Amino acid sequence: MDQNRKRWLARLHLSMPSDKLPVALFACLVLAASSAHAVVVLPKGASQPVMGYMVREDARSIVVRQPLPGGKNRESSFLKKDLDELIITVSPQRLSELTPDKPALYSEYAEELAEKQRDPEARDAAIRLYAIAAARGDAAVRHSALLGLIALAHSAEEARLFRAAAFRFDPHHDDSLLATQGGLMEEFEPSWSAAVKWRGLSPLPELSLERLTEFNPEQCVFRGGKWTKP
Amino acid sequence: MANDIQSPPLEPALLAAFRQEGAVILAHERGLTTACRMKLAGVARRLGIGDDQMEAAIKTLTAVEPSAPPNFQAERFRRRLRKDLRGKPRAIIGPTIEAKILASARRKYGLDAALAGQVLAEVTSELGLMRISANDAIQTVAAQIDQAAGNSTWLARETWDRLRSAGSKWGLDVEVIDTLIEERLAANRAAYRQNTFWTDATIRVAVASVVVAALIFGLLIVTRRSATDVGGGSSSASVPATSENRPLSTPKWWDVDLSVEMAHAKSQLDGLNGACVLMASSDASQRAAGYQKLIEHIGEDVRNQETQLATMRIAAGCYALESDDTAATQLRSDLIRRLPAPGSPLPASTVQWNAAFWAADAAGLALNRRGITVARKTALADALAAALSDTVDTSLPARDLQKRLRQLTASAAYRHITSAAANQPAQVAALHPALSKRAAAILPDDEFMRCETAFLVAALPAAGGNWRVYERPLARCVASPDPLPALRLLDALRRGTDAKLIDHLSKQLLVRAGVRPKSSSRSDVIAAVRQSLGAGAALTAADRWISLRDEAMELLEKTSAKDDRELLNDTVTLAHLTTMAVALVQGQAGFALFDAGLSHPPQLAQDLTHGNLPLDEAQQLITDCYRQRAALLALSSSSPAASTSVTDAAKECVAGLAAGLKGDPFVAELQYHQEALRYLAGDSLRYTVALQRLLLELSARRIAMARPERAATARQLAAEALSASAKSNNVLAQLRDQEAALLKLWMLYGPES
Repeated sequence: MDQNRKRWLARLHLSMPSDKLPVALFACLVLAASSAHAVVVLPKGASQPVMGYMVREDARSIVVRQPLPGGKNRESSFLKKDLDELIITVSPQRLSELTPDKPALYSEYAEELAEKQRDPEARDAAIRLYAIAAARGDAAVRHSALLGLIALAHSAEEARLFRAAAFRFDPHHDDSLLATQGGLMEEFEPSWSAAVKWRGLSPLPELSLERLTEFNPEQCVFRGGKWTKP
Repeated sequence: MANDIQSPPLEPALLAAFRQEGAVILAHERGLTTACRMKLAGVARRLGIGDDQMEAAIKTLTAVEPSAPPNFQAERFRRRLRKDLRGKPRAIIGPTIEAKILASARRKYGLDAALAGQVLAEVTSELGLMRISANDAIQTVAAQIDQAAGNSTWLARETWDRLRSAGSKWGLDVEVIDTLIEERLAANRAAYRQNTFWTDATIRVAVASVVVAALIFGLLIVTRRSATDVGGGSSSASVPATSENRPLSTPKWWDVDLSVEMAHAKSQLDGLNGACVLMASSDASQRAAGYQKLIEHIGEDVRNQETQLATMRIAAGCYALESDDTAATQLRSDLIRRLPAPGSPLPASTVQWNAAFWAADAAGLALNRRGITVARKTALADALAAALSDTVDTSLPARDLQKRLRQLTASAAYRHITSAAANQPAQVAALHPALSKRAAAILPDDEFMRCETAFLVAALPAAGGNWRVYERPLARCVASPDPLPALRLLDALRRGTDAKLIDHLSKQLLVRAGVRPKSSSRSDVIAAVRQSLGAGAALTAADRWISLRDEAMELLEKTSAKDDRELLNDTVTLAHLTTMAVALVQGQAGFALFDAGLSHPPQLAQDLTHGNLPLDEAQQLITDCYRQRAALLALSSSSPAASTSVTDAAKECVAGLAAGLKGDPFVAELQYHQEALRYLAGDSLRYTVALQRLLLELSARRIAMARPERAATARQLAAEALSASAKSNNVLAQLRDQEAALLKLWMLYGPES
């Protein structure tokens, strides 16, 4: 392992709780057989890891789909003998252990996954788990989950939605959630034509816990590699 | 030398008398036939003309003579007869009437029976009247006597009287009828004696045999104490074959009237296609089948009046007297099924209207039929009431009850075609003329007009381009002196879609009302006609709701436009119409705004720049609508100018609705919800959309509270609108669709939402 790889593994190690890293690595290796999981591949001699989704795997090789900027994807094939590391970031076993009657567990695992922000599946899984926790948890779990979502927002618009939801569904209605960086309420564009000029004709999202993210929180049980309704 | 001996010449007076009587016989017999000669010979002998002079006298009858001048009295009698009988095309000249006519001819014109009879025959033939001779009458009555008497050797007094009454109707003397009955009974007695002779003889022989056998048996017992088996006797229980051997007779529960009707139907109406035989059966199920057949027969040929009356009396009699309740119930159901029932399939042709009225008449007869039980009468009255949707007062005199049932049947028939008008316009148009003609004769004028109007209101809008088939009834209703039909036809005008119908109906109603509307628009025509015919009365709330519905329908049924300018235009109109709906909900307080506003909707200016969306203009127009709405909700009345922006006006509407929902958990959180939405929206356009969502939620909750029966619909409308909005990818489409949902919600307050 060269210096780059060491640095990368160190970063990955830091982004995970130290006591869970070996377990996660082991689980990822054991459960690699389940397809369409997010993977982190460290080829021998490469300075940067390849992050993406496992497309297929056999005894000798692995195919990984990498999301590229602009919504495109690239598939890369690796021989296993040429890899230093193959890590599956989201644990199907952990997911299958979650039950709707304990929404706090969803939030806890979401926090773990949220730390691996560079892994797209970990991030998506975290958003899904937060959404489930927000929709099914009590006020405390909900508030925590909504705050967690803010950090994972894909865009400023989405962050605005998560902040609005966090304020709306917070029993204490914390004003600071709606404040700008300067601590003041954002200025409001009064003219429709100016609003369209500024933001186009994009729609107003719905402020609802059931439709806060692209994931349906009713599908909160992970069975056979799929999210289903209980 | 055969003519050597000359007969003495006939005395002229004697010859004249002979010629007068002989001419009539000759005319009657249509020539000098053998029968005619015999009759002439009888006349000659009576007048004292000798046999040797008879041939000469007869020859004078056949001699060609110049035509005798017409008998003046006979011609007068002929004219009188023509005059009296011409107006009675259905009259039947029976023996009694004929006897009266002949007596009158003798008394007034001095005509003898032969000449008068000849004139009568000629006149009845000329006028196509039916003349029944005594022989015909006797044959018919004899058939009735046969049917009523059956195999009986005697007749009850009541039956006897009925037959006399029936015979009298045929113009027969009581003595003749008595003789006929006596003859029939005597024949029955003779047949009975003949039949019972052998039966009696057999019984006597059998009894004697039994006695002898018993004696022998006793003797054997005495003589042989150890009697063993004695040969088994012959039949010990022979059941007399009664019914099997007896020829078909009438059921015991038939009374004389029913028997007479049945006999008549059997002999004169071909047994009603076999129904008579079944109805006379001793098996109740067969009788029920007979009733069914009888009523089926009605559908096939009910136009024959004689058949119609006869079957009606038979059905009434059978229902009243039927010994088996199941068969009677079957008959009642068959009758009721013939009545018009809205929702059931339409009659296949206008002939079936006859069957419906036949059923009503038969039911009316049954209700007053002698012998009907209270229970059966009540059951029939109840069934009629249910079928005709009105009470049936059985205490009415028979004639009035009959009339009432016919009226109810006509009304039910109208309801039937009215209910089917929207879905089966062609069939309804075919059935209407016959019903209208009949109903005009049965129903009181106001009731007839009411039925016609209700029908036209349903049928005209559904008829499409074929509305012209109703042109005449339409003109009749519009021209009615009562303004109500014209006022009701305004509804047809509102709902009509055919441009020519709208134009025609508008013109007719305007002429009827004698007014000129402000414009030719439908709403102005309706308002003008209503105001004029209502003697200055203002539009009702219901009228206004209908006008609003008319205005809104097209927009609400339209799918969301793709073009952004069109979306904006629709949103402005929808916001205006929603405000109009809110105005109507306020009642009297909102009518002025509604009346002024509905006809003057705000509109975006024409697009001259081609490309620039008139966003700020739309924003201003929608702000005005929301301001009006807020004022209507009586919230900003103290400071109506305070709301300068669209979002302020919308917030005032939100606050106004929330004020009426205190205690609602949604309202308790409203302030925070609103703040969150404001933050989420980030600009005025999106905040308006966000506030619309609050208005949707609050409006649905308010409607659920005010109109619990429409709560589910309101909730569903709001939920669907919010769900659709969440999937939309254009903020202008969200604005438009949510405003449409708001309008739908507020229209739930209307009478026919």
